[in-house]
Amino acid sequence: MTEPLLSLENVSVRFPIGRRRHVTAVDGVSLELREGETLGLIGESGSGKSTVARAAMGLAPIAEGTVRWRGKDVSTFNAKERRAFSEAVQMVFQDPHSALDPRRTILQSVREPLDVMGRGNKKDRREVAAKALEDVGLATQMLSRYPHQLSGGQKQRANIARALVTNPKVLVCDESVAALDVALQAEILNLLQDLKAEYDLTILFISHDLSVVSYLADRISVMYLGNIVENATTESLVEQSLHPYSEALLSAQPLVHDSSEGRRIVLKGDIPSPVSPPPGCRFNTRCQFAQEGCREVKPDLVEVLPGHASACLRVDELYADRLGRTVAS
Amino acid sequence: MATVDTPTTSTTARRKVGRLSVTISYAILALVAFVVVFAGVLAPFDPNKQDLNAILLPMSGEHWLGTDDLGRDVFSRMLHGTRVSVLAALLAVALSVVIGLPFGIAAGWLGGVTDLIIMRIVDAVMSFPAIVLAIGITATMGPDIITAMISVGIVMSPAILRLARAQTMAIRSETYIEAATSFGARGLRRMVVPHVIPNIIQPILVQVAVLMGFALIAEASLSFLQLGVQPPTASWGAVLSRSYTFLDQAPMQIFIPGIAIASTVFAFNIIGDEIQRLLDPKRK
Repeated sequence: MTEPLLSLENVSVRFPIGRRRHVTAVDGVSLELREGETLGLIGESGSGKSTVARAAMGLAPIAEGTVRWRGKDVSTFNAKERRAFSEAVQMVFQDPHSALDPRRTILQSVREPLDVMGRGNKKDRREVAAKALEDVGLATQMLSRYPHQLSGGQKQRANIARALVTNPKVLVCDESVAALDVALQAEILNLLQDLKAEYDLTILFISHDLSVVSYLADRISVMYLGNIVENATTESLVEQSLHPYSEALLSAQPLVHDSSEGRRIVLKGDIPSPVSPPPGCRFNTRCQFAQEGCREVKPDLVEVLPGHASACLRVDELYADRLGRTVAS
Repeated sequence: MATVDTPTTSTTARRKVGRLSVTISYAILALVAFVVVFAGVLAPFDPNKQDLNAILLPMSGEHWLGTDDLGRDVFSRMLHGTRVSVLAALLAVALSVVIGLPFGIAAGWLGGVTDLIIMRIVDAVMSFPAIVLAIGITATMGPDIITAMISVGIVMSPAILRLARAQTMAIRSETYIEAATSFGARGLRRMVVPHVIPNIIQPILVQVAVLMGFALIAEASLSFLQLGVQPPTASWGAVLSRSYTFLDQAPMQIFIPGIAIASTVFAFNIIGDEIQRLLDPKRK
C-alpha cells in the first residue's frame, strides 16, 4: 500500500471553555487520505467533523497526536515546507457567502492565495485566477463583481476556484454544499468530480448528508462525538454497515424507490455534550443495543472485515450474519 | 385582510427631509472648506487690525457682521477663525485616529495580554473628563491651541480605539479571515491592510465625523476659557468668548460664532450617517 498523502494519527483537539475546563471536540481520531481518493467524513452537528478538517489544515490547535503530510510530521515543518504544505492543501468552506471578503472583488479573492504566496507577477496571477474561475464555470464578467452580487452557487464556485489557484493536491471540503439547495448541490458535486479528474485532486469531503457523501466518496468514515465509529469503503458501509450509529444514519435516508424492507431507526434525543461525554461507548446513551458493558468500556476501532473497521463492543454478535461468523452461544 | 405596505406620506416626507438635510450638510461643509482655504482672500479687513474709533458697531455695509470691542471686523475674524477652528479640530481628530486605530486593531486582533494592557491604559485615559484634562495639560504646558488640541485628541482616542477593537473582534471569527489564514495570509500587509481595515473602517469613519463635531466644540470651549487660541488670533471659540463679554452692548454678535459652530457640528453628524450609507458594500 502506498504511503498516505495526508494522515491524522490519534489527533485530539481541545478548546478551553472557562476556567481550567475544556471541551474535547476531537478525541483521538486517526484518518488516512490516500492519493487520488475521495474520503467522506460524515457525522451529525457537533460530532467534530469540521474540527477534524481544521486540525488537518493547521487551523485548530492540536492537543495530542500528529498530522502527517507525505509521512512527515507537519508540526516539525520549517517555513518553506509549511508554505508548500499550505499550497498543497486547500479548503472549501461551508458558507459560500461568509468565506468571501465582502469588500473584495471575486478576482481579488480568488487571486489572493497567489498574492500571499508571491507567485509570479501580477499579470500571471490574474491569468491563473481567471483560468480557475473559468474552470469552475464562472464567466469573465464576474471577475469584477462583489460577493453580494453573486448567487449562492456562483459564490461557492468562486470559493472552489480560490482553493484551486495554488494547484493543490488535496481539497478539504467542509460541508461545501450544505448551504445550497438540492439542484445546486448536484451541480457543485458534479463540478467537484470534474475538477478532481482535471486537477488530480485528493478530496476530504465532510458532510452530514450521507447521500451527498456516498455519491462522491470512495471511502467513508463515520464520526460520533469526536470519535470515528466506523471506517469502510462506501459500498461496504452502505451495503453492510457494522455499527449501530451508521445503521441509524443509513436508515434516516429517504429513498425514492424504497420498498421499506428496512425499518427506520429513529435516534432519541440529541448528541450528548462533548464537555461531559458519557462514559464507555460514546453512543451508548442513544444506542438501542447498548448493554451494561457499553457504559463501561470504550470500544476501539477494530478492523472486522478487510478494509472495514468498526468501534462497537457487540459488533460480533450484532452483525454475525454480515461478518459471516457464527456466534458461540 | 391584506394590507399593502405602501410608503405613507410621513415616511416619504421624512425621506425628503433626510435628503434635504444631507444636501444642506454638504453645502455647509463645502462652504467651510472653501473658507478654510481662501480665508485670506475673502476677508475684507485684517482680522487683527484694531480701530478704537469704531468699536462694537452693528452690522453694516462696510462691516458686514459689525465690529468687536477693539474695533476689529467680525466678518474677517470669523473667516480667519474658521481656518483656525477647523484645522484645530482636524488635528485633534487625526491624532485620535493615529492613536486609536492601530492600538484598537492590535487589542482586538491579538487579544490576551496585549488587549489587557491597552484596555487598562484606555480606562485610565477615559477616567479624565476631556475638558479637565485639557485644562490640566495647558496649565502645565502653558496655554496654546496646539497643546490644547493634542490633549483633546488624546482624550478622544478611546472612542476610536474601542470601536476599532470591537469591530476587529467581531470580524476576527469571520470565515473569510479563516480562509485567508488557511492559505497563509498573516501580518500587516496580508491580513490587516487587505481584510481587517476595510471591514472595520465604516463605523470608524462615522465616528470620525462625529468626533469632528466634538472637537470643534472642544476648541470653542477651550478658547472660550482662554486655554486654547491666544489673543489676538481669531477662532470661533475666541470670537464667542469676546462677544460674550460684551453681550449687553452688542447682543447680536454672540449668535455669529454660535451659528457657525452649531451648523458645522450638525453637518458633520449628518454626513457621518451619510458616510455609513455610502460605504455599504451592497451599494457598489
